[in-house]
Amino acid sequence: MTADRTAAAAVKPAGRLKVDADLKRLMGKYYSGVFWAHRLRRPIAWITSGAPVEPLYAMGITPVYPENYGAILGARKVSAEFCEIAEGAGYSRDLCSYARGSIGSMMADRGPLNGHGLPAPDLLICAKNICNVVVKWWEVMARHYHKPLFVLDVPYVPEEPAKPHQLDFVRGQLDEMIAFLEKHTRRRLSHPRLVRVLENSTATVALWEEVQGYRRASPSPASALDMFTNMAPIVTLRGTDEAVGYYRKLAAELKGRAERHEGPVPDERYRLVWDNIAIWHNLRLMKYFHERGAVFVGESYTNAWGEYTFSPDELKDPIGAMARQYSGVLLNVGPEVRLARLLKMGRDYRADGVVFHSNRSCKTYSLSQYFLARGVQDRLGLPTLFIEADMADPRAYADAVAKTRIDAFLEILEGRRGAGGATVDSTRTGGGGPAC
Amino acid sequence: MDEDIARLVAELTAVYEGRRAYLAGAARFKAAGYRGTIGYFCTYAPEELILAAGFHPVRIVAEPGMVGPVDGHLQSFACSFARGCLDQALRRVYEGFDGVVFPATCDSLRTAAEVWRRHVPQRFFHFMNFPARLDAPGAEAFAAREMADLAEALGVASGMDAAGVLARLPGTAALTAEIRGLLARLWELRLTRARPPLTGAEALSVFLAGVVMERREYRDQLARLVAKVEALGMDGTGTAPTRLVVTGGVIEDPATIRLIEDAGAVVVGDDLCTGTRAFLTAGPGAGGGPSAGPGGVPADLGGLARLYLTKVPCPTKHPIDRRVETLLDTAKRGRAAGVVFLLQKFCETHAFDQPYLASRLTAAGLPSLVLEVEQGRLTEGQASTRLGAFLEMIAGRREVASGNGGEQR
Repeated sequence: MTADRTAAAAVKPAGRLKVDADLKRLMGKYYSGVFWAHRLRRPIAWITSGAPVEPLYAMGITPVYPENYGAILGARKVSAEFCEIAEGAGYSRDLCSYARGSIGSMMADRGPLNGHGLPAPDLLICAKNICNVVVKWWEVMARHYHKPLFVLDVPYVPEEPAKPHQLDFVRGQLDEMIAFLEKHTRRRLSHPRLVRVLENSTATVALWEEVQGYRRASPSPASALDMFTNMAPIVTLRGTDEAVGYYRKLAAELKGRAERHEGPVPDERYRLVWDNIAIWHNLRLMKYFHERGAVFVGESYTNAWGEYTFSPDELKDPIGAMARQYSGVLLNVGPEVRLARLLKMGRDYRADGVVFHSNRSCKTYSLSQYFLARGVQDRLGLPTLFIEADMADPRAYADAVAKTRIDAFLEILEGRRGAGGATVDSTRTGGGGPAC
Repeated sequence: MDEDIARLVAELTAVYEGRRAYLAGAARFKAAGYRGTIGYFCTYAPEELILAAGFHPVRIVAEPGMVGPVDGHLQSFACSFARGCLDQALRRVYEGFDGVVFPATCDSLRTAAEVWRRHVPQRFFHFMNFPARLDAPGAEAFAAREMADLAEALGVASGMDAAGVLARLPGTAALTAEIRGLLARLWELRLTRARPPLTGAEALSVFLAGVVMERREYRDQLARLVAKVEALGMDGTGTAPTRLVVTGGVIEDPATIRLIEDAGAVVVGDDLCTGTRAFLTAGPGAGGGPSAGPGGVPADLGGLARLYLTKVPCPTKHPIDRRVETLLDTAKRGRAAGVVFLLQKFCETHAFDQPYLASRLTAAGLPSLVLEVEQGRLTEGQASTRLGAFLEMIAGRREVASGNGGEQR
């Protein structure tokens, strides 16, 4: 692929990142803090991943992410057990597996973190900028605990930028959300403190972007396997000093790896981009790619966390800045905007192909993928692969079928190497295929 | 059934069943002064504005059956209603339409809208955002502004300006209010009479005709039907079948309701997108239920926004209390013995609400049954068996109740 890769050909694959130990400590401390907050009767809010968390951190409210918990259930391979509890209570197996897993854990008050489920919320915050499902899911949890729920309605943004009246609508609700937080926690929001937290979010995002930038090197110093796990702090601790400190370390380590031409796949034959949430219950699938010379150099999912950035000028109006940023998140924008972001990744990371995880659980993420695949093929000339799976429910995934399709896809990529990149094809698990 | 009523119902049913031929009769609409036809989705699209712009509004519903071209655009786990509608459009069923209006509702329909925008060749496309949170501060202003944008776009498409569209709004709003009032009255008669004057399947046909027909023609036909039913006085003779209420999303095929009724029941009320949710409004804070009615006549965009914000909400909206209260009230006033959930396959919002609704119904002493509708149809044999068992269970409860010396309700 490049001279860089040839130089690295004899090098052994880089092992796990050194900062993984820090990550484990950091996330352990985060969840330990969550359980301590519960014991000490400090306010806990269950919050969606796309909701503005900064006011919560500024007010000393502990945010808890049931989506992150759903991913943990998947990665620890206990998701199916909890999904079945929810299904037994009437929740259709067609529903989001994060929701079913977390609802099952909530109903049984069991879970993998300390034997119990997540500590009960004092209030719940849900932003409808990632899907409709979270609103329904949060309603279920609020009813279960009889706790107040705030829904932030964020209108769809087909084309950027969002229209002024849409931002006004969000802004009005953000003011209301802060009043809601103050009412239910009896704490006051300090605006200077909010600005400080937003500055931390911006710093975190800048470091995250720096980390992603190092993956432009060949070999890539990190793969999707590293990034899916390392995104946990930017989801749960965005806005905190801890997140800034952690990503400073991660950036330094990846910088060093890039300079030394180290990476998980030193003999990098195929550079790939991943679209959609990880298959948490089968992260080893990434190693299957690695063993065949393929590495993921970018993911739309991890890339999406690079969006929460607030310039000093914008911070003169922090509420307005949040209204704008939280309206333009990946799953709230039109497919053309998503495609533009994906094409940019493909170009920036010099991708050889794009793998679409057709994720049965996440309709919002998945249902534009046929359009995106066509765009990738037509505008970048890259082959695409569809893997049909589910982010947390292993019952909706067939490993052997996926691997057969991966093998076929990699053969196509190999053929293109020989043919100078002339062939475009698309490969999909299961029958049929998108109109690509 | 009274002969006049049967004839009126049959005429309306024929319009819906023969809708392709009906809509192909362009001369009918030109003679009525329309500039063209615009399709719309969902009960949150303000058809008053489509009418005010001089277009004939037609609700898009899927036709039952297998799908084809949509497989190239949406995965099989997308909502089966969204897939079915999009499939028809891709097969150019709506070729004669001038365009379409999609209001913001669910994730699947939002994606279907984007596919429609790119792949269905029509001169007009409009996606109208609408609050998901009905009680948000600024919801009314936001909805009104989105409706103003729609009015402006429709004005451009029709060759008149937005002011021209808005000038006609009071007239078209009065027409739709009349229709809502007539439907509400007819549904009330079905709900409260000991022997419902129309079966649930017939009522659904009557409703569905109204999203296809020229609206003044429909209003007149509906008024005749309501007058006949009012005059009938069908209370209290013979053995009444088991009274049921159905709840769910879009039911586009009256055969679905007929299947339930053929099992030995009569559907006396509903909580459907193709039913009460299209014409019943509950004032804010009124708690739904008895106060649910057809709503007033909005005079301007603010009034129109308020009308739609106070509709009995569908599950894509928050909060859902008014929906829950209205369903419970419908079942109570209709003296229903049970409720049947008709869930579109992969409709997430309805599926999320179902266990909660079922628990509330159980607490009110009402058993419920879940049936899944895929590509517009129930799986006939399986559904009939389950319905049979459900009705037997209800009969058993009645026997136990009467053995204890009293009616269950």
